[in-house]
Amino acid sequence: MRPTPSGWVGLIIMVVAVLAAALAPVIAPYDPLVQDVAARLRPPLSLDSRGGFHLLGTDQLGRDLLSRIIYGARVSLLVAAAAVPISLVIGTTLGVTAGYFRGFYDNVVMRLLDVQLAMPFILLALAILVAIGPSFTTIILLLGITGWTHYGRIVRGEVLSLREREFVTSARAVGAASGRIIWRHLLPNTASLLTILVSLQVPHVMILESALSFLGLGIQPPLPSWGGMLSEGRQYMLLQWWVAVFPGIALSLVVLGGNLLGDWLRDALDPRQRSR
Amino acid sequence: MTRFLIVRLLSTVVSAWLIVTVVFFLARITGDPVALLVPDNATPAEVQAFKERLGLDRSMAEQYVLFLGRSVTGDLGQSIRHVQPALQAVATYMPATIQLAFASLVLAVVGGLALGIVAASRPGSFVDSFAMTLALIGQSVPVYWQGLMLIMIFGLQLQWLPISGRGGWEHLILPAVTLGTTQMAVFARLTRAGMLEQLSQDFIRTARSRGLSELRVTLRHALPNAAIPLVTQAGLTLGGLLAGSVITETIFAWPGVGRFALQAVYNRDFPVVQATVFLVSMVFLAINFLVDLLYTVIDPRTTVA
Repeated sequence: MRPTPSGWVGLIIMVVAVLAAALAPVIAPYDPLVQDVAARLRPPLSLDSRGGFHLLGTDQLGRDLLSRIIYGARVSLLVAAAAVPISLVIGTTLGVTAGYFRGFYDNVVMRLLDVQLAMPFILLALAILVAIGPSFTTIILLLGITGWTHYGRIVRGEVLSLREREFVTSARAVGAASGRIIWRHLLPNTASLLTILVSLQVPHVMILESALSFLGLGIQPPLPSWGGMLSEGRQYMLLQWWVAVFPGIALSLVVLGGNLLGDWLRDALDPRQRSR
Repeated sequence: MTRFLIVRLLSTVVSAWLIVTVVFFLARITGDPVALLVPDNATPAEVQAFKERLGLDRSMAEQYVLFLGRSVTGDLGQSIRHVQPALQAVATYMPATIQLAFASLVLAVVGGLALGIVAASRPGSFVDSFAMTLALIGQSVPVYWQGLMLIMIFGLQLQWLPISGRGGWEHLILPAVTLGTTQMAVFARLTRAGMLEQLSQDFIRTARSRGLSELRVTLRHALPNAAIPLVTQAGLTLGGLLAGSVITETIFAWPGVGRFALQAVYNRDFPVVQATVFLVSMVFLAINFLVDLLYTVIDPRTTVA
């Protein structure tokens, strides 16, 4: 299963992002939180008064932008890494059981899906965050719990067709219990589908987290998050463009990487869905 | 077909009921609705009056039944900050959101169809890769960053277009482009996939063998069939756009429901937040029900899925 050229690009971007996040303390040239009033809003490729070099310049508090972006990768990927498994477990459980048992229970799950699709996510998330207070844990739980829908819908569809296949009907004929059929026969057959869904949810969660942070109710300062950095950079856009441009490039690149990787996995693992 | 519509109508009603339930619990998520639904500066006597009027001194079950009954009549309480019914306050911001939603949708559908058709006409060619790369980038760039960049380039540097508020058509361009790009990418990919599927069908070969022009084959024979799934997508998109984009409306100071609701969140004006969630979710349900009706007209094969 060799990656296509665009698959390679996605893979490389994601590996670089993960490495940057993991090795942030080693590779970041400065402490992302240390402020230097004398070196506020230095343009890219400039030196501060002490002769320190800032590749991407500094922000409104004199913090090194490159270091903040590297640490921002940590926040972004950590939220995704924690939220995605929650969505995966909830969505797969509901999707498999709904598709297998069908009937009234299936209807209930489908209505829940409809309702979540109908409701404005960002607004609902903001209302919950302002009521109970934004924290790392609340954001992860919020994104994790609400992210189940893609898994639920697609896994259910897959199970609806799997359950009519011969290996399932024969397992049922020899008297296998429902739990065993689901665990031994249905779940393993959704594995490649789940890989695709996970790879596509990671960039999605990153966008949502950065949007919440941009609106001030996500990751709280001084922790560097790309969305929060963009929101701070907004007011300097006319003259100090770099404060708002670089975090956005970082975010777009990583999201693009995730999407490329997801597209390639979909083409490689699920030929039926090719280039949809 | 009648059965299909009845089933759809019933499930829409159930969804509406579930949405009202979520909206009800939204103000009770902290366990203390008084803190969220009553103004901070109210005197103890006023707090007591509020509790009685909203029924907050009664049991949860009673409160719920009361809330259900009121929401059916469109009564979602009074805005804390603005002295008017919450739903009415939100509704006044709907026209701006509707205008922006339709502008974005037109842009997304026209642009997406064009990109998708061109890409599908020569699969694997340079044009195809170019169009699909464009779509992928459109899907990857976060909406608010794109908005900021458009403001920076076309508003602040070139000073071609206004960057905030609602006014003439020129005010509409930047927010509509911002909001429409992601959706355009989705339409482009769906159109391409649908067209490729249709173009490989037998009836297309027949049409070509009859000597019809490629343009006619593409637009008259393949496109109508490829367009059916796009109708669903357009319904979902329009429903989403009418929810008001909190982010795009805020960045461009567009006076729509999204921006209004965000201000309500910041002001902790919970009745308005509830009313917004209620209104836009109902609009979403209604549009998707209408799309299903439309479906039975354009695709007679439709049955209960």
